[in-house]
Amino acid sequence: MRLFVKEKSNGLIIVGCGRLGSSLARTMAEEGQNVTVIDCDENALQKLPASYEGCSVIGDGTDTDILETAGIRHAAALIAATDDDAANIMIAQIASRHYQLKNVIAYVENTSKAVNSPEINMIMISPTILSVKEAQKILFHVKEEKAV
Amino acid sequence: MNILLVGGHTRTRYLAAALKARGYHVRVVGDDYGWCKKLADDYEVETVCGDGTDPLTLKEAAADKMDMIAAVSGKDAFNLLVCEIAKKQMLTRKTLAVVNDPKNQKLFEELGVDKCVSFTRFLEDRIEQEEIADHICRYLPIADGRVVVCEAIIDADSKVLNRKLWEIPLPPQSIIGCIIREDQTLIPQGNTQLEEGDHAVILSSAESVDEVTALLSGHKKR
Repeated sequence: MRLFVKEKSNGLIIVGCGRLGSSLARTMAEEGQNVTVIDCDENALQKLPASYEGCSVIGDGTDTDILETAGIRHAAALIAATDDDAANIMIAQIASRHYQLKNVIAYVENTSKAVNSPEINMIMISPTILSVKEAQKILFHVKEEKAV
Repeated sequence: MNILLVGGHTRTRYLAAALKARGYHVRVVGDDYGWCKKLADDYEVETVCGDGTDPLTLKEAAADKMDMIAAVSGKDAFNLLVCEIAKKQMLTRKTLAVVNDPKNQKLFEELGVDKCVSFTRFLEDRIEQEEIADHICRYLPIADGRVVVCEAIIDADSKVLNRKLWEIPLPPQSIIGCIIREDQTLIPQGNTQLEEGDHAVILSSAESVDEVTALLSGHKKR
């Protein structure tokens, strides 16, 4: 059990409160992280469960004013999980480049859009590639068991 | 010169037509098939239908052989990504992005976009010029807007009417550089007197310009 409530300065910002963003926010908040969710649609924030203890900000996540309201200056990490690849890449670049955030993750459906460069510390995660890997793992294990 | 326009709708349509009329070789990438087809039919512009942020689409549009790629959609994130992919993957020589939120201009330039155009800032400047046009004919920001050249008209209720220049308490960082009186142009000295109908050409810092124009024209503007 945690004895001390984590400082506000160690927050996790999640941009986009779709299926992915809201489950991330719920899971991370349950784990005791200090979570702030950003979405431009107030209705999208309804996806968060009533037990959710984090913060939420209504606004466009590519706008630096909104990111600052969400506390990006003191945040420890950011996950860009909107349904728009371009927006996710832009948000991740703002976070790592402009605010020098160390831990930045962007969800990108189409990985050929990746524009990573060495001076930007961000990790791109593709749900498609993850699913492929997962499927491979499952099928591979099934095969192995049969072989044995 | 070969130009590739990516994104946008109405604006792109007229831009493509205008650039073509000026003799540029224009190609357009749009995401809507009907729109692309109409553009191709109406203006005989080469169009490629697809997602402009997808390298495959850009490749198909021969972005690597273009002299310039201009991302002109209404979404900043889209425009940024188009330029970055063009620059890093297609090695396009010059990239231009339309910036809707003026705050993004600096970021885009940091990330390697060659030129950013902000319509918001352009309109803002334009409206500002119009607003003060009643008493100031021209307003020209220079050195990134830190210095302003403007023209104030000395009218009948001006406090400085018939006063000599040395009597006028101009704020620091400002100077009357020239006086236009009917068809004459005077380079003023301390004992030059301001007359009704004079156009005073002022060179001033951006902070002092309101004070100077209020003082000369007798009207508090803005």
